[in-house]
Amino acid sequence: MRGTRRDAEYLEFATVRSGHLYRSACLLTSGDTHFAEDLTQETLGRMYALWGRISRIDNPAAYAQTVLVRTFLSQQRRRSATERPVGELPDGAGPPGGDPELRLTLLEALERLAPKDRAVIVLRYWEDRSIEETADVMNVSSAAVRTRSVRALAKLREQLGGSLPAFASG
Amino acid sequence: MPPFEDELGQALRRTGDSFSTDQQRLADTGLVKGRRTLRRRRAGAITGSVAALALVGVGGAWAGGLLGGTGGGRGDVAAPVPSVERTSGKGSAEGDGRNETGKAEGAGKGDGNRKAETATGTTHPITAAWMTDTFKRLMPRGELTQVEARGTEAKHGFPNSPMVSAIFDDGKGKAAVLLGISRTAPKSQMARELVTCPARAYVRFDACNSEKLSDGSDFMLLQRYVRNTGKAKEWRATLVTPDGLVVDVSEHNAPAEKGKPVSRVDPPLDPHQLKKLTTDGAWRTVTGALPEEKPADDVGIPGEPGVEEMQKDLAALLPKGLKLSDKSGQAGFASLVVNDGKGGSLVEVNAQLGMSDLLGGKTPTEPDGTVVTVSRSGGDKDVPGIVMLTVDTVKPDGRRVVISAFNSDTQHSAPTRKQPALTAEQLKAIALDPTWWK
Repeated sequence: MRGTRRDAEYLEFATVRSGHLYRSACLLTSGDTHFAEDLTQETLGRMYALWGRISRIDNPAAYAQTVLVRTFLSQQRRRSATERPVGELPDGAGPPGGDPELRLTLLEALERLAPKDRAVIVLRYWEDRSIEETADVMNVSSAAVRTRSVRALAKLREQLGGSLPAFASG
Repeated sequence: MPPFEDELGQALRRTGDSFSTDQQRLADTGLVKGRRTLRRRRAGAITGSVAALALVGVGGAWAGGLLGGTGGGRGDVAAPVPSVERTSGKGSAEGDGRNETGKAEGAGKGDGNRKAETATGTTHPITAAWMTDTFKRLMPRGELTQVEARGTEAKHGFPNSPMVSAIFDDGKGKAAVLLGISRTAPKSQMARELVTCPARAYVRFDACNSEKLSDGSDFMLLQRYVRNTGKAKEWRATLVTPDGLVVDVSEHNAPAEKGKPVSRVDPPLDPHQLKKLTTDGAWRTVTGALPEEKPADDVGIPGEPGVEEMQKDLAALLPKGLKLSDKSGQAGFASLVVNDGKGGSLVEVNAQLGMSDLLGGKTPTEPDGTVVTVSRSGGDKDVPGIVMLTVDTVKPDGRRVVISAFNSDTQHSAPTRKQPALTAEQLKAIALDPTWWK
């Protein structure tokens, strides 16, 4: 793709970051890989559009994650829950030693959370963000993050029961 | 971190890492989309700016939204607030970006801050400096270091909720203190949950008090434990005013929310000081500077019963003679602690739709085709001696009711009795009752 130095710098960033963004998107969408691709492309498009100001952004990688989550939350409002396939497994085989059944169970459990609760879980336990960082990304109060976190964990416990240990070590 | 959360983290990482894609293709597509966005933005810059000026001039809308200041992150023009002054947001074609759906997304180069009404009707900007000054003025005597704050200034294109955080030391050890301000929809589920004490079944705490203040605000003060050490504490006060302003203050007995060992027995502000800081009138003046929230969109999955309905139904279906306490839940999920005189027993029930794929060719156990599975486990908190008895029922059309009873009143504490207060037969009768889907 022909382009300027700006394009080249952007492409280097986007190529490196797109994998992680896509994987985050897959968890946010509870395994809807098509929606996840759309979200990742939308996020990268927004990053390109602001690339002229990128030097003023402290941590472009973290910022891209923020854009992804906020894009997800704004798009989610426009999508009906019934449009999305429930826990659709990604194409291809799972990780070595992985258990597709348990993976499906996790994605289904995520699917049954409210989108904002799911975003809290993904940010806290996949991105390993603190409560305050999570609140910052989602532009909500840390109290709201705590509330969502407690109830999402309760719901996940209820649905996953004792299946996680086997999954985590599998 | 408790075992379940550890396991969840590992499971998420394994699952997330299993998704792979063509990274180069995604990057290229992002570039194409980004270029298209810029082209449209440039083409629309002139007309967009004129429209924005007209809105500000006529309605007194928050400055910044469309002119590249602080607002507009959600793509909506801020509602007119007559008493709010205009500030000097500087427009920028690139900065006030609109994407192809017309949704404003960028902050641009504006320096306008939203302003709040003071008690006297004048206005002041909600800047990081104002947050810091107000916080410092209201904190008790002691040393404040590493003070970080933000106002409503947009950072990287998104409007912010004001906050201030600091390390506070009253001479007895450094402690992290955090104050955040936001808005929620008045009378919404979220507004209620923010000031509702959690159930002991899920959160370990020493004390929690929720009260109605004389001005109609709701206030909650929670003294809880964090992590699994039994030593790390978080004391948290939350105020929700009748118009939805949320002031939330948390303090720890460690210099950080996580990753630092405890530095003192208790957090530094006692409950009285914490309440005074949280409910101070200064924070109320921020209300006008924050966008109003619409009612929450997460009350649950349509068709699944609401929490109050489920708690009521569960209580009605339980065997007679049990004492009930510690209600909790959310849409599609309810829990109660029951006591038959032999000790508290946590009972949880979950009603879900669209779960027919769990049937997976299993032979129906009931005449109507329902599959009932009974299981017994040690719970998921690794607490020795815990018995978790579960009856899982899935109807052919995917309606599922899962009910569990524990031999403890919480999932994270030692058993209070040998067996759960309900038998598998009793749990099954409750799960299969048509009440859940009335």
